[in-house]
Amino acid sequence: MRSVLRISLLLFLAFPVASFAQEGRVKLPDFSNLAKRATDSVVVTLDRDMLRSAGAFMNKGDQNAAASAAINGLDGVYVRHFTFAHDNDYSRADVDAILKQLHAPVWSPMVSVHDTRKNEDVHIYLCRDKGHTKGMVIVAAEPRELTIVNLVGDIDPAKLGELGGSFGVPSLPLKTPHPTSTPPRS
Amino acid sequence: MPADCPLATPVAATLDDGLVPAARAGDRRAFAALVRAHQRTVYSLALRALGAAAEAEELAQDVFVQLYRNLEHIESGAHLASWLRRTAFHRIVDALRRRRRAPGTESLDEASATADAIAEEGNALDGPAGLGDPLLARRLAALLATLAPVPRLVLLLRFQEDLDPSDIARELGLPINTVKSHLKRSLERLRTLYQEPQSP
Amino acid sequence: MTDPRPEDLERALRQALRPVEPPAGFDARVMQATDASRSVREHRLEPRVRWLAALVDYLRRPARREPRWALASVSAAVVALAAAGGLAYREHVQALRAEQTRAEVAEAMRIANDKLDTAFRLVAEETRSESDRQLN
Repeated sequence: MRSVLRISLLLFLAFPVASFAQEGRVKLPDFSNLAKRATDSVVVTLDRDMLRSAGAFMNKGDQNAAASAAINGLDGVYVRHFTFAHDNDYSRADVDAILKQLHAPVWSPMVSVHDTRKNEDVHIYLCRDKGHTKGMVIVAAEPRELTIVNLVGDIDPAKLGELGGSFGVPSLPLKTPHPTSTPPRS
Repeated sequence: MPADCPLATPVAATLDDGLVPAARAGDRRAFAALVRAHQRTVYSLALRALGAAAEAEELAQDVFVQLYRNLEHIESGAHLASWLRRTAFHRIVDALRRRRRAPGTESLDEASATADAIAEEGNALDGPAGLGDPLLARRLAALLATLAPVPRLVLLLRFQEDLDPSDIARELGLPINTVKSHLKRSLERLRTLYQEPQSP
Repeated sequence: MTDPRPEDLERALRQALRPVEPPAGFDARVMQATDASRSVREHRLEPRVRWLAALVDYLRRPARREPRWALASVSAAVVALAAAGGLAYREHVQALRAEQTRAEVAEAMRIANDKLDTAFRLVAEETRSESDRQLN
């Protein structure tokens, strides 16, 4: 009985993380203190309802059908991007809190690179569930920039450049990178 | 200064000191005046670094939209000018990296095409009123395009914006020796390519 | 044609690199772009309500002797126009929200593409370093 209770408790505690992971979404910390220290910050929080409303409105005779189709394909767009005046004006612990979530089984690392000389880390993870991509996370920690991008939905990184092209962002001929053997920094 | 006075020429930082708080408070005309005051600097940096007028205009526009979103961080007119140059610098470097060119550059043929693109925009090389030698300017623009992104931008800040190496170092967050090294090597390279005898 | 040779390279650079104006209308396009990024809550009703407010002011003016039919027709017009104005306002707000969302998605995609490019650059550099080590 006690072991059943313990297992149930573990499942209960694990559930919030698992449910986030199954949606392809990560829980983003409160970065308000970081934003105060940054010289520039970009915060984008668009959930499914906001994206659908915008996409529906853009469908009404909007000339950019590709952009509205792209928006309709997304279930969430979450960006936290900070630029600082000096090196290491933020703590890598802020990054670790997100990377820990990406150790859940549904998240697969696509790229984890670390440049010792420039002190740059970039991690790209995909959330897969039953063979379908549910989301993508990019975490880039550079000396003067911290960036977290969480795209929720059926994202194909190879087509991310085309998606960007729909919004006037230069389309990039992306190649799927090969995962490296460099372990992610924790 | 009247709020609707068009500022067609670059204003001193002290004049910006009056516009910045107004723009921060939501005065659109003040913000528009700041744009007009600084658009030449930002656009010219982008144009000479990227070599494509449409891309330069888009980048310059992005810089000002970013300024609009971050007005609360701007403390003064002097800070504004520095912020604009630094932001333009970072965006230009990102754009040049996205072109996936190897560090050190375009070939001279590609650079000539870049210089032609600049020249077609009219007055881009020899400045207003047609002063200066357009052939010389075109040649220099082509040589400039052979430099790697960061040295190219350091050179632009030195000779377009007339900033001292220490100012460039502070604005871009680079060590001053790095800035001086970029300037020295870039000028040597330009001089060599231009086949100009070294001055004693 | 012979390339002219400047006596002073630095002086020539300063001359050649004087700032130039962007294409005409650049500042107007910047202001339009900032309009798209403004919060919907900052949207002002002034253009839409100004005519309505003027009409209401007209109706409130004292000591005007208007025929009853004129007052009735103006009142009906006010009600109809207010309804149409309300609908148009809601659509305008929706358009602003859609444009703001579009602008935010564009910014998110720009940042994502930029960081993907950083990742690919680092991977390429690592691969190159590894190749150099193996060759040596």
